[in-house]
Amino acid sequence: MVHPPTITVSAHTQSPSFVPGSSLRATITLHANCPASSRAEPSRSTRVDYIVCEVSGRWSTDRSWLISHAHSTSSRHTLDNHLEKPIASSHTPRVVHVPAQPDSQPYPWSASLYDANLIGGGGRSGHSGVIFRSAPLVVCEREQITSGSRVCFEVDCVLPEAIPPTFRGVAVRYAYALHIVIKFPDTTAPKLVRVPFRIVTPGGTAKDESRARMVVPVPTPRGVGPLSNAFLEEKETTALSMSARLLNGAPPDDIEIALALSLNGRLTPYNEDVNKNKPLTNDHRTLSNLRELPALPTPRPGMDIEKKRARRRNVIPVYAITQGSNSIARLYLSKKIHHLGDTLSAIFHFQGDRPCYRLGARLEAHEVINPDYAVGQNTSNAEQGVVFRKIYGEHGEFVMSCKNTSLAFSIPHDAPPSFTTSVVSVRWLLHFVFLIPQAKGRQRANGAASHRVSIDNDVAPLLNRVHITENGVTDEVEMGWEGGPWPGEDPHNWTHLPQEKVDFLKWTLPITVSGQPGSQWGNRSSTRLVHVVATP
Amino acid sequence: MGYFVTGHPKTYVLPPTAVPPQPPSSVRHIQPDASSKYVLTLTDYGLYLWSAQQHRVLLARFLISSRVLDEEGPFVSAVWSPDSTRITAALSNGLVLLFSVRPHASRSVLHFEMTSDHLSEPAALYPLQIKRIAELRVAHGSTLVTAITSTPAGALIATSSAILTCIAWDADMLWRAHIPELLRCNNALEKMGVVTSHSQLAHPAVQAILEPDARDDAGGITDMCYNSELGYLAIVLGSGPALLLALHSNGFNRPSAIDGRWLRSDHAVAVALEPKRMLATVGLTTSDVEQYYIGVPAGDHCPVMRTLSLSNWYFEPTDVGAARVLRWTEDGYALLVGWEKQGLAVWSVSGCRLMWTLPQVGGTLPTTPALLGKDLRSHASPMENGVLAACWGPKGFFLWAAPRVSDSTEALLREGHFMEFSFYKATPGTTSYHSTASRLAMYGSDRILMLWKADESAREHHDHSGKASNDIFAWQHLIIPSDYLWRNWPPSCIAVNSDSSYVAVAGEHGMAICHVKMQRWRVFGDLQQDKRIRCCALAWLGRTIVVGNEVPPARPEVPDSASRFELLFYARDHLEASALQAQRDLPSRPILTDVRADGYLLVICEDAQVVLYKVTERVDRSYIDIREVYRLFLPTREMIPLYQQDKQTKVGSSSNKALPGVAPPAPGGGISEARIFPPLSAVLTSDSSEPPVPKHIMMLRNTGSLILLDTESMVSTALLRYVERFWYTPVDCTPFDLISHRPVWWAYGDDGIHVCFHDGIAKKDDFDVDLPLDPSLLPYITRRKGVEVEQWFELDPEVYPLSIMSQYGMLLGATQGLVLHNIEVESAPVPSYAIQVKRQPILHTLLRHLLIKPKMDERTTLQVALKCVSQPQFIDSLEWLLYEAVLEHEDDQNVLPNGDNARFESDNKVISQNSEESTPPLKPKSRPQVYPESPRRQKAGSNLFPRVIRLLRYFGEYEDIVVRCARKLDSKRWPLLFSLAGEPAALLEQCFVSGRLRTAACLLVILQEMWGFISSTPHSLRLVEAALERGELELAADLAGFLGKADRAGMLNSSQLRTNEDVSWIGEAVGAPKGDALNSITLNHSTEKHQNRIPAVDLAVLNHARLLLNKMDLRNLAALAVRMNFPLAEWLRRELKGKNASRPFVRDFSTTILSLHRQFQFPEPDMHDVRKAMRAFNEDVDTPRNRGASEQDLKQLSEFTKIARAMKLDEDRNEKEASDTDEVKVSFVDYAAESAFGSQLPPPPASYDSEMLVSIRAKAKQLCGQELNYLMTVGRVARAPDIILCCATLLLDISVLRMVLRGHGELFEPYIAALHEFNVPGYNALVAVLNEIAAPR
Repeated sequence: MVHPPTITVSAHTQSPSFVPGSSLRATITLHANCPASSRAEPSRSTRVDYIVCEVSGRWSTDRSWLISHAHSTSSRHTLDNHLEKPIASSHTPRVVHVPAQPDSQPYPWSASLYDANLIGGGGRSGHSGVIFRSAPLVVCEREQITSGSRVCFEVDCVLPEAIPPTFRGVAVRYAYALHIVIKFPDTTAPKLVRVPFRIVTPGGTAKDESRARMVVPVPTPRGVGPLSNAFLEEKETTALSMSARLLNGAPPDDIEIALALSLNGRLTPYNEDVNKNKPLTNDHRTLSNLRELPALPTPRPGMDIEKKRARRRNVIPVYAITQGSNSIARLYLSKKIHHLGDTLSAIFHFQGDRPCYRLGARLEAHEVINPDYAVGQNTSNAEQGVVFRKIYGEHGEFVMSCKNTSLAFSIPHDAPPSFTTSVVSVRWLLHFVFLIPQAKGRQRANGAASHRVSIDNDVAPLLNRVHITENGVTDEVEMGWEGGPWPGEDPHNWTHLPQEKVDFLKWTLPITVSGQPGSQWGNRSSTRLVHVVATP
Repeated sequence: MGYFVTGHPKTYVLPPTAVPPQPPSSVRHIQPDASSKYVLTLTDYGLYLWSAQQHRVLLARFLISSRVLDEEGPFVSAVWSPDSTRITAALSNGLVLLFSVRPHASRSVLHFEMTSDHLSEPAALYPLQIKRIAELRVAHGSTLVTAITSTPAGALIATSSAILTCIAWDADMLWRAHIPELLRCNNALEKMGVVTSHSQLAHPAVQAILEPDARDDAGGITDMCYNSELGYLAIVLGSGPALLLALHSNGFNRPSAIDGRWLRSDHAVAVALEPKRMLATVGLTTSDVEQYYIGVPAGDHCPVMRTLSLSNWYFEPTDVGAARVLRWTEDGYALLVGWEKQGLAVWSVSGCRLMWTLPQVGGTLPTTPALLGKDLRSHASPMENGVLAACWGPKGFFLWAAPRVSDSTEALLREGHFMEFSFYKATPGTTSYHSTASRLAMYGSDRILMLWKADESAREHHDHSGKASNDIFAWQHLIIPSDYLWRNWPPSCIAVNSDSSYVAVAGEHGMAICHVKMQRWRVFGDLQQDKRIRCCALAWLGRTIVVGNEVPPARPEVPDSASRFELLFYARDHLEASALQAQRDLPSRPILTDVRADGYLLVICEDAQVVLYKVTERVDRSYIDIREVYRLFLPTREMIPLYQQDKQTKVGSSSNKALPGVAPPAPGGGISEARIFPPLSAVLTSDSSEPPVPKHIMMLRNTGSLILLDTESMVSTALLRYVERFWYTPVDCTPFDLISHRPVWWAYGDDGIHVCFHDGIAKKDDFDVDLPLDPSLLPYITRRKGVEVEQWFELDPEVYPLSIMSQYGMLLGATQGLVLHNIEVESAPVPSYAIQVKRQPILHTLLRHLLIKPKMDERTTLQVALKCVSQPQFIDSLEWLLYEAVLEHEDDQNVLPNGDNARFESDNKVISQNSEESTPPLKPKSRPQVYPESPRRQKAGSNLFPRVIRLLRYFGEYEDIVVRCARKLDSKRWPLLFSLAGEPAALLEQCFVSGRLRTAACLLVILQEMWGFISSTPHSLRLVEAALERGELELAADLAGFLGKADRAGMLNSSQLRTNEDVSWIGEAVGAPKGDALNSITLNHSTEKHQNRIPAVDLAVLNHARLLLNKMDLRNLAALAVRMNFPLAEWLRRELKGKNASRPFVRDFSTTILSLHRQFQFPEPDMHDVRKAMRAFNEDVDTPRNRGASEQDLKQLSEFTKIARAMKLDEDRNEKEASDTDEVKVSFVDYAAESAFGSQLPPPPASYDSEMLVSIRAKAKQLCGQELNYLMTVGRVARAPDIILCCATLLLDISVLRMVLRGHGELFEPYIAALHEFNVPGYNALVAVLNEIAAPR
């Protein structure tokens, strides 16, 4: 049985997630599968008409939660990409051949890219739009692929600095993808390959937040190009302008052919000492030499403050939990800023004046909709907005005999980092519940229903206040609290829980979850497309 | 199997008591009951009952009064009855108390009907009622109670006078036995195989037993252990012997020494029994632990299977003390050892140390940023004063241990505290290992851990930032929903589907399924349906989850009613009774399941029945089609052990419920892992033809023998012994995705990791052709027809192998890691534990295996290697391969003659042993010289080395590999290496031609070591030139140093030193004692460096400098000068003075400036820059300007003319003066410049720049500024105004520009014209400024 020749197009991004402002790099591999033919036969080749790439980000909202045009999309910025002159790849000096089109779409791939971005009517207007869209890049044209061999292209694109992270919330979604349009000579319509990738943001600092908040959506830069310079006609990597180059790394399947095709008669290239011949890219790693230079001694007046800050950064957070004057527990968190994929561990030491019966903890992420954009919010409740909770971990434990205990939550790799845009923000928090014996002042209260009323006025404010001491700095936090009777107490039988009534102390600790740098985890984003070449 | 500790150990303390203060007492005994619901802890005067399940809550306690404590002594030990309703506790002076325990069903300790949205846990913990029901006395006078153990009949109480008393659970005394007497009568000792006849041969401890004296107690009984499945009571006597007594009929009859076993005669302190593998474990005073196989016939010597010793970790017996506490887990896969003086450890069956609290160098994960850079050793290790008591919690999820307290322990902890370690485990009995994914998952009491691999780029990133490479793996925690867990704790089965996207977990009832990526759990919505499922096996079959379910009898009170078992098939998206897709009845409890990806489901039931189903999922998933392929009984030959055959005693009462006529599973006979054989050989695709029905089953017995069962002929073939776990090679794993050379299975056991290959020629069907000739040979046979077993890796005593992660091509193992938190608590921070993943590359072993095979086509090997080119460890693997090949080649040549002899001897020994399949060898593992080690690691033939070389030659890195390998080899082996790898000079030439100068330089060193400088010098000179040409200045400097060394050693010929041009001035200029301005740049150490440079190198540098100047490549010229220590200024001056004196350096200003812009990536100035420069210029001249225009002008003018004239001053003017004028400019070119000058620059700025890039760029610009300043200074010293002009233009230093232009009026016109050519606003502005201030009059 003779299989028809096929061309497999596989594309994968260099890593599954990227940081805004970094350079997105993806590899497109074309592999022509040879139909079992004898060696004597001259190797046949197949052809690809063109490959065009585009990087884009999209936002969409749920119309039952958000009003339309939450992110204002200016059509001027999103729709005219296909009209621009495409950038020819550097390795193909040929001029791009533009077939004449009767209508306003001058390029044959425009429609496909249109569809890929769901601009042509797929997306609901006002509830979806483009965050950014790069100019389309023609990676290759009329590429001949010898049977049984591979052709690899590397596509580069510097992502904009201020884009929100990939997020699949209930009401808001941000998604990014690399679109590849491939046209084979034997088909009429081009094929589309979509390689999704993930954006993670460092988050955590006010700067990050403000930046992302300001710039959504990012307009596609048109005039912003390389420096206008009459003499320096150098290739420059600009955000959203893509570049591509041919890789010659992948040897063909057949060793004989691979040896014949290789430049040095071996299967792998020589191990060059210095990659001086490599084109200078935006890759930070190649500039490591420069980055590691010792900083020049520039005297700074604020050096001491910096040092202090640095020292302070090294101290892990400690929280002392007290009620009134009674200490209950101390909580140690392993870090201040947690990264995606980290294990968040909290250690409790119970050595306080008041015992703690039970401990509950929850790791939550809140998707908070800005009330300005939420649907059907009455103004009285506008402060809070709409909040969607997602629980990432729960822990409950009886700690009455514990001297210390610990709990560990894992922040999933694909959870959203903390971020804020004008429409939505994701906040992470740890929610604790402590079950402690009811304070003396409250024992007169009889039953859950009435205790709120009968609290002595002078005790109640004291009890409501829970002091959280973070690294020596005390904060008074208003804790939610509830009380209830202790069921089934039999005074004749011994148990070491003599208290009849218990109080629930609740405390919410906001934490920051960052997407950088250790969060480049997960499955590689890759896509395959198999095209069966029609045999003549 | 794998038991791994994680997290921070918890500490439990007793609540403060109202009892009058007693001296603080630590916990001396911990024991959970048989059902693992409760655990009792015992202090000197108190008996405490805790809940043993998910939470530790004190449920009851019993305290003795201080009067009783004074009269009767403290509590010694206590045991639970098998039904958990009675406790027998003994006080040290002989009083035995019997308690009844029953829960208060009416009320609960903790029952919260929470109104809040938190903590909605519906169930409750019930307090216990503990009541003393009887008391007896078993000892009087000075005799003390020493140990208690529990039997179904009653509690056995041992005393210091070696009397054993059995007290039934209703307080009747059943029997008493005096152990030395028991051993004396009926020649019991002789029948146990102990040498007694010759008094000089007999051990003193044995003699003491044989010859009774007044104190006839043999040191009393110090420890004992009873196991009802084995029917043995293990006893340790105070004088050191350890022995087994037969105690049949559940302890109702007196023990018998006659069919007991003698373990050892001295140094024993503790003993534990493990029924599954039939092991008796004895802890010794020397801190070692020995494991005896006790399945031998009575009278035989029990062989030591393995010895667990701390000597590998450099602990002396005096440091840790005796191994006092020994406990096996329920499933018999992990052994806990607690030492008397220090430390606690957990070992796997095959001797891998899984957990330890002993201090150790390394193994710390600096994952807490706060602790980086701190002294990591300053943490406390738990159990640093020794272990008093320890035990395993239910299912091995917890380890409770009570440490010995010292004076330094804080007061709160002296009173009855114990620690809890949480464990995660990967056990085959409860996990369906049908995919590699589930091997890389573990589960603990409340969560499932799944291994994640970081992306390549992340690793590069991490490497870059200097982080540990282990960070590329991480465990993802899937926390089981607490409401499910609260009802159904503990989790007992987990199953992970093949692509790790779904996990199913089952507790006592019901089941929960998790989508891993979304972390979304799905459970039965209806609690009634949840209750109906009592899962005993789980498996994923595509999108279907298969549940082995136990249906309890409808009327449990009827005695004959037994549970029914069935298989339930649910779609993973619908957990509901109505969504049940299929149901099949099973003959008995399913214990193991396996799934092959093409839909075969294997179920092994408790009564040795095996069922194979073929399950077909319909595409639309409307229903599934299940067909039973076959059903058979496993051969039960091994299921009745020897002692049972002669005694005909009923053993294993728990399994009496099994169907009549079927032999009950007996110790050592069970199956711990079973898989369908053969595994699928290719990834399933839709069009591939259906693979044939699997006819074989691979099984791993509890005893560790790996067997292959042919289900048609019912013949089983033994494959390997002492195996702890085995796994198949994943189909889609990179080096193994070609079928021909994929290992069929991997087995991990006592001897490390073995792999099995199909012989390339044989068919799979050949497996059942022949039986092994002699079973005793099996562990040593490496070649049988059709199959080939080879040892690949030795046992790493700390890393427990998990599996191969597909798409990764490395063997992954787990070991314990420590995470330290920077917690400033009152005591030193206690570490928290983590599971660290270690990697073992396998490519080089695979390649070696392929190359060894005589008939293997080398192209195949090449194909395999080619597949792995992209792997990061590829080059290392090749290097490793070469290294091993060289070493083995040499060994082969040296030790061939007598090697055969040794082999023959050992083979003889092995054959002479009388052993059956289930009998292990009599020789202990601790004497490895008895074993023929060689066949495990198959000896390479003499042709391996040439084959390796032939393989490596296909790769571009060949020379690098050879060089790297040579550097690791002893130089004695170099001739051998290069005899086949090619002459070093030839390799060097090859590298030189292909431009790999660094490799060539490395070869130079080898050449010099082998043949001396005379051989290397010509190459060196050539390399220097090439390096200069390629701009690799560092390499050139190194080579220059190398040559200098040769010169000093007097090894250079005069012809090599002679040059056709006199370059001695270079050395003089550099070595000038009082440094001028430029010499202050090049620091002292470099002048030293230069002194040894030979003229030929100087000439090369000079020629290169000429070339660069010709091209006006000023940036590289500066780099050359600084990094090669070349007196640039001196040379420029000489050039100006010499024959080309009239020619200026800069011929065309505009091209030069443009070229400088490019070289330094300096953007053209805009108006703003020029304005800023103007401001700076004005500030410079501001002060004089204030004094008055005319005066200032005059003064300024004179100043400038003075400076300008200084440049035109006569040649013999001292440089020192010149340098006085520009002292500041050079001062901040510091040491770093030597490595930084001429380094790669970032791309020019763009509109969008990441912050990191911006900072890099700023730094680069600063660096370029330095370089330009340097060049400008050089120009001044050399009096080359055109160079100054160009540099100053880029730097926009207007004062210098004015100075030069005024001084050299002839340059003004061409310079201004060149600036005009740029036609950028900045330069236009500059022209305007210069026209104003610098135009020559």
